[in-house]
Amino acid sequence: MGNSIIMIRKKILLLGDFAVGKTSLIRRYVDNAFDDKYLTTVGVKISRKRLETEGEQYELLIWDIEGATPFKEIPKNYYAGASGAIVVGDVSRNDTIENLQKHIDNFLSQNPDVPYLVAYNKTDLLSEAQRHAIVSSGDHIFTSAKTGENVPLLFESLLERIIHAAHSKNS
Amino acid sequence: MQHIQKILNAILSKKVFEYLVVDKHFVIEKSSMGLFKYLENAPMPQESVFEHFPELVGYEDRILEVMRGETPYFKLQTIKKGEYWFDIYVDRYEEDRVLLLLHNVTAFTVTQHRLLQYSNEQTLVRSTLEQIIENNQMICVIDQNNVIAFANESFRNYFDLDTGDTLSTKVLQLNEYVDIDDFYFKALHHGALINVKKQYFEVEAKPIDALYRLFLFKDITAVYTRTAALEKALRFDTLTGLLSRRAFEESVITLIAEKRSFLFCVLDLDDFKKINDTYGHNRGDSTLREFGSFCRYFFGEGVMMGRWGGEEFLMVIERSRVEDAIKTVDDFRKRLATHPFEENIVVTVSIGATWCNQNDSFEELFLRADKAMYRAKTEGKNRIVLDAPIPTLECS
Repeated sequence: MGNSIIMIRKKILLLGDFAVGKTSLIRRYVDNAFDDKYLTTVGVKISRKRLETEGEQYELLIWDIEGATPFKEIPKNYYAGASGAIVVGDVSRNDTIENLQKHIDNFLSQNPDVPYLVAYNKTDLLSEAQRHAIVSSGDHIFTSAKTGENVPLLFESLLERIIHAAHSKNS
Repeated sequence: MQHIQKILNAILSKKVFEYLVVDKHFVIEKSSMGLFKYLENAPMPQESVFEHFPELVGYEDRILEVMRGETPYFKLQTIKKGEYWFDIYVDRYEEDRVLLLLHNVTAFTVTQHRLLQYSNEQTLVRSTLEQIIENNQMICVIDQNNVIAFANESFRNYFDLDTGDTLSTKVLQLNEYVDIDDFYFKALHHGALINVKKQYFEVEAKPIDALYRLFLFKDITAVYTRTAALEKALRFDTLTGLLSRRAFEESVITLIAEKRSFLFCVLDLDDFKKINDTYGHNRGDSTLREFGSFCRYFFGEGVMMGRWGGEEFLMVIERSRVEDAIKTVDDFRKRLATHPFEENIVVTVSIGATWCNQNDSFEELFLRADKAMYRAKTEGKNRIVLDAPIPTLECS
């Protein structure tokens, strides 16, 4: 018998309003690609990304979930069994930033104590002064799927938190 | 039997189902042949179900609950796999096994997708427009008769316009001096600056179809005020209030380029060092300040004067004849000599003058006039000397 690699699978959700750039963030992270054209997501599409950290092999199962609209909420059973979430807002649309807390609350109501990160996406549309003017609470990372700014950092930071949370739970 | 009934029901209702049977270790036991059509790598017996359905990662406990009969079934809706969308049902097959039923909902979802795409795009466009319309910029749209067809809240508030029906009857009037048609073309091609109710606006205009004209007003009062103050500081000498050296030189270069006729003079206050030495530098400064005031009072807007440095000044007088210009300067010289400065100081001035010829440069004019001024000094001060050929005008 050879050494078989144990792959640890982690379900990660991308949440947020429609057209905030969830699909683009995943596409940038998984395929290192970007397309300006807006194509709405229906339902769920899962992308996989493998990476090694702390000597372990992980497979991130990244759930690209249809964005919330005023007329349609995200089905709650999508949240089940998630190891972490990235909650995305579009810095050029205030309403999507204001709705971040609602998405966080929905996620935590199904997954208490599960780590999450907030991504302020589309920073390529902001000046430095505007970026500083954004007042936020909680952990957040400024990202741009267009330029790739902080995209790997976003996913890898979340994985670190997931691993840390798992260690804390086991110890 | 329940699962067979479900498959039969699906077939009878002409819905397409594919299925897999999964054991309690989440290993595939068997699957329907139709799955080959939808999945890139069709699942094979003994493989982990999660390899082919990562969507089920995280639902392990719920699958086991279904297996044990504690939960009847659960469903994951609208899961995209490749080019297809499925609803996935997890149902009890028999003890220690579950049935995964895949309902192909692609046709329905594609329609839903189109509707959602359209709806989301419309919402985005509306949101963008709202941001443009209700930001701090004032926006106004007028028709061919200059009647206001639309004005946003910022514009209405600034111009005290009512909303509602009365707005659509008002003709746009920015201020009493502005002709709207002229202003529109200026704003359309180069952008325009306008002062309305003590505020400064940079205005851009654009046509909307052939019927309407859009104006965008950006408030630049703060920037404009700062820039104007800075320009004033650079343009004028702070002590005398006359033009600064740079502003004077630029203005003369413009006159030369426009081929205007003028007399160019260099003026030097006589014995100014004595004033400083006798009364101190403060008195010297106040004398210069008073000299500036006297010049502005005497010439008004008709003559351009600047401070070159120290007690040396430059002057340009536009006249069609040299003699007329010389007479104006000499009148000035005479009046200055009798003007009562503080402490009864008498101020006289030696003036060198030259007539601007075609193709003269600023440097050439200055050199000729400066030379003539030195002659005026050496010939006794308080006089005008014109560089040749017109005879020197002696002091009276």
